[in-house]
Amino acid sequence: MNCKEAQELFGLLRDLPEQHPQRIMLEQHLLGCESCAGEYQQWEECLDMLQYIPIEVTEEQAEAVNRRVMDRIYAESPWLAPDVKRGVTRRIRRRVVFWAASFLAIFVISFGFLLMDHFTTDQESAEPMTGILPTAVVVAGSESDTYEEFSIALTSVSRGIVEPFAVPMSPAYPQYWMYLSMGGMLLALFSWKGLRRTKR
Amino acid sequence: MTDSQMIREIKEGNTELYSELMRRYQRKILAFVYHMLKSAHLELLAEDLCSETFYKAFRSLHSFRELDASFSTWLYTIARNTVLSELRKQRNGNVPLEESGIIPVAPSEVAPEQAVLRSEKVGMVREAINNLPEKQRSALILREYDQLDYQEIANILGQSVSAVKSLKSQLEPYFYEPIYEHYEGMKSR
Repeated sequence: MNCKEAQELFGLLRDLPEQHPQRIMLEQHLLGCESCAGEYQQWEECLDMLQYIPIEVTEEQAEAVNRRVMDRIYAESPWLAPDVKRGVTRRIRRRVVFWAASFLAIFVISFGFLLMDHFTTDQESAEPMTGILPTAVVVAGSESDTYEEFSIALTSVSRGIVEPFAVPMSPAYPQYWMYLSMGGMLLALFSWKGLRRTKR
Repeated sequence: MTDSQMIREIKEGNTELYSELMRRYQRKILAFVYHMLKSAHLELLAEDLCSETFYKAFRSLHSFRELDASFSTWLYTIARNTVLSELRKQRNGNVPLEESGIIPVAPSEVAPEQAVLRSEKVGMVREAINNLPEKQRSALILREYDQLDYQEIANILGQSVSAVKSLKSQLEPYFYEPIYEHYEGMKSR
């Protein structure tokens, strides 16, 4: 090992383990080379001097930094504050989850109802219930034979009155269920986003 | 509890633990920021920038990946970038470190003339640190004050390990030689 190589290793000597070949070689070189030994001593002394430079950092200052950071976090994200998190937010979140679950249940039930209704109702029985019904024409005397096949027997209707346009829709569950279901979906989405943000 | 366990819990919503995590590094980071700063109002800025560092770290905690670097390395990187950006803002890159006015207390067994000599040397070292380019100064502080290994320093400075390992030759013209010359001059007096 020459002097240049030895001096390159000065900065690493502290890190090298006792039995490391580079360390052994450097130590041997320092024993034999007076110039490098002197330089190494100076180098070590310079670094040791660093320890005498006072660091003006007290535990109180460090603790003040800690408090300031936590205060800032809680000020900018109030939902992360421990008291808020345990109290109001948790209660609100529980309510939102309850409503979301209820509305989603309505959605699932109505969807199931729709599917069941779709598969159980056969085509023939459904046909006259939907669309435009054949007009019921009530006629008098001999004309009745001509139109008999197109007429519907309406026993309770008096002559000369035309049956009103009847369009019963199926399935017949309340329309506001759909709004509730959509509300449930939105609440679920909102609470999921809220939870994700809280976790972040 | 290890750093990674703490970070996992904080990510899961246990924000209070962040205070505990900070406690492990707050003094080191504050000291590092303190040494890096070169402003007239050094202490005040050091605390502000240290707070900024920890706040930024909290906000980006979700992006922290342990596979890339340890938490301390990541924290030092944020601290360094925060200080550099502040220094850039202030555009006063070469203002020397504020003199603390405190003369290191010499041990009682040290003779007065030795104490004076040491105090003079400390002054020299401080001046030498002030004259170091930013990267070398960071490397020296991280190495000698914070006792980080070369791999960590290389990660923080964004340099290769071999570049950081040649710290001695990098410091020579700014740090070692002036001190050495001064020391030799004092000895010959």
